[in-house]
Amino acid sequence: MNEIKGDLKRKIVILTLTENCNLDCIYCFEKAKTKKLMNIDVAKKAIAFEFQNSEGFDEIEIDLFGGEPTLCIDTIQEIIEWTNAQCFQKPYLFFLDTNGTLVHGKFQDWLCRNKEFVWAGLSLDGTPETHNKNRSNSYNKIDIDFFLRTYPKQPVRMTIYNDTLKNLSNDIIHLHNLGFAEVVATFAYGIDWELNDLNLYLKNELQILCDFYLANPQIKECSIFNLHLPNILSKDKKVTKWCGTGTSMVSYGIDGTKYPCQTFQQNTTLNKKAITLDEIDFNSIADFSDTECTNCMIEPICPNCYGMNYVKEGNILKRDKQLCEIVKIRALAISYLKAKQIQINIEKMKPNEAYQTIKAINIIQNNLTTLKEKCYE
Amino acid sequence: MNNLRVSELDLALLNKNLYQLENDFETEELELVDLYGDIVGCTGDCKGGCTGKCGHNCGGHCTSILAY
Repeated sequence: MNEIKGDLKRKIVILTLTENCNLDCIYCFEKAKTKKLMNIDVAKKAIAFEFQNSEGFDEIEIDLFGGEPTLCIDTIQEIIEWTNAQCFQKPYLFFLDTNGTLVHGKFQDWLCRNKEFVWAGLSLDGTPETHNKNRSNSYNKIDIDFFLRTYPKQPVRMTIYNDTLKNLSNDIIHLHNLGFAEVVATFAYGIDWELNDLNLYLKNELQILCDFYLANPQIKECSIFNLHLPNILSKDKKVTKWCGTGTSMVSYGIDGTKYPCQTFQQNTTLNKKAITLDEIDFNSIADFSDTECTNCMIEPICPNCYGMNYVKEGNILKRDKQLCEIVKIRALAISYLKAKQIQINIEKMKPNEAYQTIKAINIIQNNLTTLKEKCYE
Repeated sequence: MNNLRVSELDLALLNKNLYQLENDFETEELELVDLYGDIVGCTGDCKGGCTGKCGHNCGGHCTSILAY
């Protein structure tokens, strides 16, 4: 297999191996768990089809998804060994999105032997206290060192839940201290976020994290701090697509039905109709704006999940407005951190990068420090 | 606790840098948008094929960050 390069155009193929899970995480967006499994022939057919129809892509990433995919270890091993035997011409890599609780013993040995073909990414929510509260008391069931040792460049995935918000900085610092190369921390979708909690706790927690990163510049900031502030200067531009759903990404349900991504599948959409890949042409949508956000100054940096929009609002373009304050507080925290970092590093920055970042900091600090309004016109 | 506010002094220092940049460089150069700046919410590293590398919320897919 050729080495996969990060700067090539990649097709993402998601295989839902099972809708079952051995945990019951408090925020899980897959509300409808079933015992259904993907048949091995469905998986092989999907993989062969994607390799044969991958014009325009340099490489293929096949995500083994669930539920918890490691409930199907035999299927995982057969899929990967079968794929390796096919001699497909495009570079590929399997990715296992796992809660880690079933990754032990012989399966660890097998993963180590097949590290060239499959990477595993771990979900871990921070300190044992937070993780156990969010994720079914599973902290001690995970061999964290195995993931650190076997996949040293792989970030850890953390989901932030409202009830553990007060411990956010401790949780993220705990993951840094464990030695993960990067912490991808995302706020749970589809739950109730209270404005008062966000103003009371999130701002304080992000302030603590800003101070932590300023004191430890060798540590890569967690993904909460990765919004690209200068984008707010380009407000006149149309809003383009946020992710690869339905274009460079396809998700196969357990019966082989194709969806734009996993959030459009029935186990997520619940009482709303699932949307298959051929029911939405994402390439034909020229503007991904939410009309209610047109006057919001941070719309250009506001993350968007079309699947969760559909689940919550019944419209792929209509954002969940409960997330607005989170993005505003994130933008404020980033502006604070960047303001401090620029003073130290301005000589190392490109002139346009420094100029645009300072302008964006001014706008954000002048408009978002009170956070009283829902939208900023 | 600062609550994420940049002090007036720090803002003044930043703006001094801003004026210096405006003096030293052409506006066109300063307003040049880097490639990734053109792709909303995206670092652009994956050239439109979402890898989750940017770490943004994309429906639970963000951890699939592979070789880089």
